[in-house]
Amino acid sequence: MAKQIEWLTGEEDVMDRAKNTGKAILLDFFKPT
Amino acid sequence: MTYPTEYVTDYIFENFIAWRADFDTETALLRKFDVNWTPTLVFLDKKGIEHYRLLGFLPPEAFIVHLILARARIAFETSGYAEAAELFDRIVKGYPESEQVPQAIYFLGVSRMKVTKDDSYLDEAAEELKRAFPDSEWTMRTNPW
Repeated sequence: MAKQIEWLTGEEDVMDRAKNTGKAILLDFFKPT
Repeated sequence: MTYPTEYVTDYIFENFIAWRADFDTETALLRKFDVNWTPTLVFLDKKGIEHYRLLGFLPPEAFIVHLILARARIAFETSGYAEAAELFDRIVKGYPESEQVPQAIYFLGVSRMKVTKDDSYLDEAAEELKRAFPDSEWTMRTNPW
């Protein structure tokens, strides 16, 4: 079963998670359809 | 951008903090990252520094290579040469038909040289590029080696 991507929208939250996990960040600028 | 393919979503889930910004409303972020087209994906290290970006839609089999390449470039540019070598090698061996293979061979050679201090890895990469991709710009870049 495919894993669900948890999309974050707040910069502070993103940076905290990246710092805590050591993971890289994928920032997706998308146009809502 | 939507991510309907299981192996792509799994790879993002396992390897990235996923951050989504609305192109129509997030004007401050658009300015901060100089983004003026969509879809644009910006890949940042854990400190928020950009190392790679990707514009436009790609099919999943091409997109997954860019996800690996983004991690590899981040590792390389933050001096994580062993991790970078592993990721570039994964592109070379796992996706031999990808357009990104010449770049991966180039950086695989440099990463291995950085890890071992052994210049022969540069010669090896240059030879492989000359043999398999004689017309690639990445091959030309090895000329001084």
